[in-house]
Amino acid sequence: MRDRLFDAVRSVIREFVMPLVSPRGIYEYAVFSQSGNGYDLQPTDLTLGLPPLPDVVFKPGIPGLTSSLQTGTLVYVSFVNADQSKPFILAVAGPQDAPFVPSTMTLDSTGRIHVGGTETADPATFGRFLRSGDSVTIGTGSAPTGATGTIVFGPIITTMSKAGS
Amino acid sequence: MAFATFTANGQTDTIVGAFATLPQWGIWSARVDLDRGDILMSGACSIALGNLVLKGTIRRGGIYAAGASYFVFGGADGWSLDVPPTSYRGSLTFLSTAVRDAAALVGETVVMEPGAERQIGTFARFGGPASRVLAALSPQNWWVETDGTTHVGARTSTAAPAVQVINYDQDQRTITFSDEDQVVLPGQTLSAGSLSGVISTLKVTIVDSVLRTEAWIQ
Repeated sequence: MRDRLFDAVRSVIREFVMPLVSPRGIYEYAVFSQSGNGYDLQPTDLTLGLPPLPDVVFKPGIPGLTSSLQTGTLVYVSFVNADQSKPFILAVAGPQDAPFVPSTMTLDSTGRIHVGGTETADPATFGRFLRSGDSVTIGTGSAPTGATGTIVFGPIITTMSKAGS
Repeated sequence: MAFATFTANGQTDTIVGAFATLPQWGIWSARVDLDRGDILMSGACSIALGNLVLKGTIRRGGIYAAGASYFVFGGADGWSLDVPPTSYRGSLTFLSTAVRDAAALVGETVVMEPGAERQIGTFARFGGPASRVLAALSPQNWWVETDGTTHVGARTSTAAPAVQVINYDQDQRTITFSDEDQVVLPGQTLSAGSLSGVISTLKVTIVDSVLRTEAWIQ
């Protein structure tokens, strides 16, 4: 049989004041390994009663961004709709918490990706990404005076064909 | 008055006072006062209030000058005990697996109601009271039955047996009756006068040798 007063106080605290951990919180985990599109995570604070989480997806909050996190990366985990069957990685810890840099990262869009500029800014002022397969034209004249070609990554490009030549 | 008895540790005593609450979901509990207190009882026990038999576990109690008093929770009284954190992965993880794992750790027995089983995939079980597993996976759809088993899923609604109604309150939506022969349970439908509906909670009392049941109607 249990102590009556201890039981009552413990119940009140757990239910209303400090329900230990709940799926409404955000918790720090470390990446243990990657499995397919998900990550196996370990809680960094073992006193909270958090379980290790398998196969957790990373939802970085930036459309078009995918990345592979390194083992040991500190991440922040929450649960969709406070559902314990839907954990997800909400964010990655800052640069001061190495390893911060992902092993790979892809930023994709169906249109342009602007860096450091807006749609109304002068494109000549800002840099652009060029992707493999993008068409480029060097110079302002039309063929055959303007040079055109296709961006190819991989083997080092030593020459670029000139249209009309 | 032998219609109300309390049995534990191989000894049966007469109940002189009782207050039992049977909710629609969750764990039933009861306080019983006995007419004597020869030995301090503990562990599994059985409470007979007329034909209503409740199998539970003594959480606390003691012997007093004129008898004994015990506070009892349904089943093994294990759902408030802590379970360690763990997690499940894979599309073939079922609700019953996670619930039965937690139940096994705290000594409870689980019965899955028809239609309650489903795949849950990944599930993170936090460390803490075992009942949180039920709250997370089957919120407000589980209860500890009078026989001590934990049922997961929705109750099947059936008609309550005919009882001798003493009073009903349309505003409070309660029906009070006194019938030690009939067993009325939450989830059953009950009516009295113009008041009719599903019983959400039952309060069974024995005061001055009179058994009385109050039913809250949804």
